Amino acid sequence: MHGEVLWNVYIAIYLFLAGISAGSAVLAAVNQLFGIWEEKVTKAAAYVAPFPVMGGLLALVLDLSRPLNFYQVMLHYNWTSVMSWGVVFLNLFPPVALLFAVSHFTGWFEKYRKALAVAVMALGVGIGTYAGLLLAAISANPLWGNPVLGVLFLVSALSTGVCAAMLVAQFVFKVSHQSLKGLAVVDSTLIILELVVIAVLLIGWAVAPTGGKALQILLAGEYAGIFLGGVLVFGLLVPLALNLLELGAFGKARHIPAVAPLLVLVGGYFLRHVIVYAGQAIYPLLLG
Amino acid sequence: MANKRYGMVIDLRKCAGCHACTVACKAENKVPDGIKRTKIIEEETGEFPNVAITFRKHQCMHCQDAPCVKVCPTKASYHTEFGTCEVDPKLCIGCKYCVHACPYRARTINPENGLPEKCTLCVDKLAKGELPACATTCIGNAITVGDLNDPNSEVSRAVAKGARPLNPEWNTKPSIFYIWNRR
Repeated sequence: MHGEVLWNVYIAIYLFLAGISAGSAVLAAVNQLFGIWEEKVTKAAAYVAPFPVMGGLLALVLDLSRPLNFYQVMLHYNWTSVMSWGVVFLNLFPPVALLFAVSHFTGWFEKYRKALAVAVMALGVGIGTYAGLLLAAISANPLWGNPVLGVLFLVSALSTGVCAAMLVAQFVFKVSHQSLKGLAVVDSTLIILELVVIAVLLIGWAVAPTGGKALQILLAGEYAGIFLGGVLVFGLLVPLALNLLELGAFGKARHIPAVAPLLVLVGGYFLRHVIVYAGQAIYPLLLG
Repeated sequence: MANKRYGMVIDLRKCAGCHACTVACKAENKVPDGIKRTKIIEEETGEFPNVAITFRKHQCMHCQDAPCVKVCPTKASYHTEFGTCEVDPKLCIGCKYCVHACPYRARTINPENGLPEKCTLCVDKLAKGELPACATTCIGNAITVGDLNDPNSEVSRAVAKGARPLNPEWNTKPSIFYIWNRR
């Protein structure tokens, strides 16, 4: 009844998996277009990109209360609905990301790889951003109704996507330590950006007329433990410290394999979980 | 001739909080256990010692600028020709976005069919010249229904005399108006 959860773990899992796909697609495209690191990095990221979002789409359908009707969302569009825009991105992203991955796997249509990279990057940014705006469009919700969520979800998508690609690059493609260090720099930059965006959001809630409820539940209420511990400390600050240690910011560089990217991934899930659940907890239905 | 726009005026001075409207609605619309399309909310007003409890019938406000209609990805949530909000079961996928979007928190999900459950203003009965179940059963005659586009209708006259929607500052243009009993 009160505080009833309508969007549950399926939605949190979907947002998490779609974010990983979006982020790794952007990383693959950037390396394809600018050749910053060795080609194995592009391959690792390109192979990751198409698949998490497919699992996410399954979770999305499982969340529906009328799942057999799901195809209607692809036949009918409402351009005032952020969800319809999401459907456009989600229709286009998996096939384009799959083509891009196939191109790298088989060596086919090499001529079009740059065009594919541009397309998959645009769609990746679209998916990363729309996910936050989906919630922000519920403007009456004290926690969700904040457009900065669009930026937060994009930065977190990039961060989790880079980390997923990093793990594959390290353990499957055995990329050079040089490339891994480069990715750790990107990862650290994204973590710092994400901390800034979270600070902006917290200030936004603090100054909004109804935002006090959002601050209360995240910083002192039911979801404070998972937000402060799972997201801020173990999802962002600890991996940032580990990255800096790895990069030699505190004297001699030490190699700490895979812990930082794993923590970022877990923190990325917690972030979505906390926002989806806390937003509903402080905005109860009246007729449930 | 302008289309009809059905609306409701609820005179809170006449509401005793008896819940007959809630029960009549559940019986009429076969609403499953645990959820309701309309219910009485007790609201405290004023400051001690000048305090009062108001019984307010809560329900879908049938907004003309409805957030639920705006966010529905398939246009399953729509306005009928009478200006009321309704859900088309053929198009609804059960994404629950409308339930989240309603600032009046007036929707919920029907566990039996997965559809958003909410007041329809009994628009089918209105079209036949009958009244909604809640209006016919109200012991205090607190519920009036009629055409807001007809300036001579009872509802239009009540609005002209000062009946106000809940939270008009949200700019959703509700079709449900209240005559408040605050002194």
